[in-house]
Amino acid sequence: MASDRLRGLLARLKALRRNDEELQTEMQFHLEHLTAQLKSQGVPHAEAVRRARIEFGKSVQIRESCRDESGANQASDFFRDVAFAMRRFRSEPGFALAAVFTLALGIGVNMVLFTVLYAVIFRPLPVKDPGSLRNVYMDIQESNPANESRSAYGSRYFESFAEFRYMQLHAKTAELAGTAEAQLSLRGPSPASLHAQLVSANLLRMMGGVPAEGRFFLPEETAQPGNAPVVVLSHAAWRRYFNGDSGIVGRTIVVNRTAFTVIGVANPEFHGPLTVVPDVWIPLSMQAITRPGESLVDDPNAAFVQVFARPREGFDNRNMVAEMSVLGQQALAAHGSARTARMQVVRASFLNYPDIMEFAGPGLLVIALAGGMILLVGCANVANLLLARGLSRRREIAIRLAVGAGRFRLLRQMVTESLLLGLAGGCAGLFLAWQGGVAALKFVPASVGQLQLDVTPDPWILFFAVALSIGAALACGLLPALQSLRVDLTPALKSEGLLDARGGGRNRLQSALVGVQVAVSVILLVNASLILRGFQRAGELDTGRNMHGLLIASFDLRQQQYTPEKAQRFHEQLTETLSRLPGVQAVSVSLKEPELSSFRAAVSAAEGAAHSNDVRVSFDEVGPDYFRTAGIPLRQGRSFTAAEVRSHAKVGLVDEDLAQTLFAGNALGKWVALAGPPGTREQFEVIGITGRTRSLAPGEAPLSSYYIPMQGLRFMEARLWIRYRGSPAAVSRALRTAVQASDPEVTPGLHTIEENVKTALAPVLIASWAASIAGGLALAIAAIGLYGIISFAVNRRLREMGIRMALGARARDVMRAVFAQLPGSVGAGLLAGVAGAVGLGTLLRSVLYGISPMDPAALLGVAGLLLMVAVAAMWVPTRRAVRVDPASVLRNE
Amino acid sequence: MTYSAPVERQGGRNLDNEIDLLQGTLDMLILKSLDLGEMHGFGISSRIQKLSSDALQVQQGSLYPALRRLEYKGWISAQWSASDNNRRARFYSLTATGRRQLEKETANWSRLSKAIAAVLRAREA
Repeated sequence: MASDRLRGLLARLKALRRNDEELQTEMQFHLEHLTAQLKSQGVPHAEAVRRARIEFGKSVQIRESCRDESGANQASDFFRDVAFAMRRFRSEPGFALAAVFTLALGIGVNMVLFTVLYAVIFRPLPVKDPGSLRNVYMDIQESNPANESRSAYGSRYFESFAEFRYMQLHAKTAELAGTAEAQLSLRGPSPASLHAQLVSANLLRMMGGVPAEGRFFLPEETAQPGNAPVVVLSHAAWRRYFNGDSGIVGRTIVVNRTAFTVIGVANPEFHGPLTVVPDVWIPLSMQAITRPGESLVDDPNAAFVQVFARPREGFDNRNMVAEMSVLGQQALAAHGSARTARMQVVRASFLNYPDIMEFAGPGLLVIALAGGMILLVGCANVANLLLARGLSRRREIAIRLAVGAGRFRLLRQMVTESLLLGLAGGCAGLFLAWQGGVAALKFVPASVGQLQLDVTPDPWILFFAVALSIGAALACGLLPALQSLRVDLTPALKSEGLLDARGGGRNRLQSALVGVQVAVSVILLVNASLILRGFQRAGELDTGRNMHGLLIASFDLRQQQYTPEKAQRFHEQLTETLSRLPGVQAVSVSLKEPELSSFRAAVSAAEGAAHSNDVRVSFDEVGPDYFRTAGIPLRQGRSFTAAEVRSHAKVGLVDEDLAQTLFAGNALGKWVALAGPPGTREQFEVIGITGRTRSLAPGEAPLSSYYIPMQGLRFMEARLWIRYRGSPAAVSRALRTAVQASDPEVTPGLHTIEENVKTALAPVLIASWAASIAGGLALAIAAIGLYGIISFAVNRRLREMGIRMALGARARDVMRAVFAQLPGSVGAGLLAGVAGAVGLGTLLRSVLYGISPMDPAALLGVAGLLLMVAVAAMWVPTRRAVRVDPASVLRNE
Repeated sequence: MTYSAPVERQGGRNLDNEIDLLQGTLDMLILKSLDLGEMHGFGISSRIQKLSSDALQVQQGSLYPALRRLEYKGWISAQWSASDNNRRARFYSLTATGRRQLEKETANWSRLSKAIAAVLRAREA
């Protein structure tokens, strides 16, 4: 928009120069004709030229008036406005800096949010021809959930390998490619955990990859689930793990205990179509080695493939969408599913699964609101600065109006000024967001992998920045500009000092702006303190467990191609070894990484319980000594025996809550069944009742717990929990030695419970930091605004104060007169802010850990803080009013 | 936007004989002279001079700004082409809106001059 305007101006200036040249020629022509005419009347040549010149008049003047008439001045007026504004800013650098800085902060915060969201959700992928690339998602409509089960890995909108292959083979309008992600363990001279992309044969070429060495996959290598152990390395991985060995192609590397032949290396710029930059690519058909015992690739109901599509030559997007909706249904039917599939074809980007928006929508809304509020406070502040400035400019404005300047012309001048401020703020904000984004990406933990998120400004980001700048400029500039044009000429020209009584509209506007600032600061601060109190509460929360002296170990048994039996033996052996150690009190297995993962299920039936259907429970499969290890008290009955775990006995434990809900407390000996796939419903006899527990993970509603013995496949991903006394270092050393003795290939991952708590609460901590910074920022801006208004009001009324004091007013009366201006707007802002904060607080419930959004401590604390800051901001300038020396003020007038 | 359009009698440094044109009259005269056919700037001024039997001479300082103004308003359009003695000159011609404007101004003018004449006659009587 702005660039269009600029281009228009330049074009007009260019036209202006051309016009000038044309006019010159035209006038020359006229002059010659005039001379010729005079000569034909008998005037001698030299005299004719002279008379013609005189008659013609001053050509420069004519040219100037021609310009005025042809509308060229609109262009140069704009430049004059800009130049004038720049001169004013130079003469008041403090004002200009304060305004630009405030706007830069407000715009910058919003730019960061937009840039990140845009990079993740909307930005075209960094692959070949991203514009025509689409994702094809399958939305399964459950006809009868009891009849079929479908499992999803990544997003429930992904497709299974069989479905993907069916669609890929039959699609006529588009080329389809599929991908999934996995972790691989690389063995050899430099062992490492690798990020792998499982791909269909065509994906690398379709996304614009070119082999730097060797070749990419062949269609037959990814067609059938099975045995094509070939791998393509990324350029970076080739350099890092194989020193850029030029003879790498044809060599064998071992990942997940499977020998793969290296067939190629991709070009350095190519990172594939997913957020995480992969180290290697392997065929989709090799999925089984990434999750042994769970061969998703053979299961037509395991959705794990993300599908990309690009229309073929001669077909457009509509053709493709039409064909996909038919093919999707056929692909389901091909493996005998009775369900219906609704296909969604969406523009390809990093995170565009339909479930992302459902999941992240409310959070994004809160964040966007907070960002908008900071900008709002900033705008209110700049508006107040402009208002105050408008007052000191009223004489200038009155003079310009008096000598005939148009009000519209003056308005344009003032709007140009605020547009300049806004654009300067926008530029700074844009830069802030860009560099901030680059810096933030460096803090992504290595375990997540390198992210290929692009935060450099592109046309959309620029457009957003410009729109935000212009919006902010108008929001803070228009009202003060209109206000300052409402000048009563005669008194304004006479003296500024006598005008106090007439500033009613301006005062109301200023007060309203202060009210808005106070309200927004209160909203942000209350939420910050609510989250902070929630965080504190979480630390003191009674989890029903002993939260100290617990070490949790996880193992990469899947990657090491263990069978469930071997995994169970591995854990049993390790448990036995560790239990004999001096510092170890108890050892057991669990499915959970405490505080970080949870498993949910629903009770489908319980003995003698009428309303057992749909009781949601948190569910775990555990080893014999689990409750002693986890520090969960046993209220009644007993725990599992080792024999029960080994024989997969149908016994279970419930917590007090569940015992109460299902059996009114008398749970022992009754049976409970969990909802699951038909035919697999098993009844478990309750043998014990435990204490109640809850998780610290934010957003987790407290659920009753239900435990059964760990069985079979679960040992593949079991965690070993170790309760110890003394230092965790000794125990973890012993554990590593024991694992090394049992299988040197297996790498244990170790965490203490304290570390897990910290990780689980990290989002809350970050949220409380972000909210505190936002709130503090808003408060500081509001305080500066208040200070500015009061000191301005005091300056304006110094003379009045002087007279009053000369007539015997006491300091108290003067102060009251100054203070009387604001309590209304501060109070109204406070009330509105509290109401808004309580409303927003209900959205934050998941991180409040039971703290009420109306928590009196937070509300009163913030209100108190705000009043203190307000009084302090008003106090300083008021003091000045009181110290006024009547004599000197009166003399100055 | 105000402008004055002094139009002087030939040889006119004689203030007594100067005829002051009413605002906008020059525009009307230019439009009228272009109604007779397209012409360049010099031609327009000589045409007005000839038609007024040398009573009115348009000054260049008024003519060219007026031409630019009329062009900006879209009443006349300009085009470079060759003049009688094969020199490049800027030829102006009346546009459709210009023609309508001329009709309007002519009607206004005759109403105005009738009214003024009536007033003047009344004073003489």
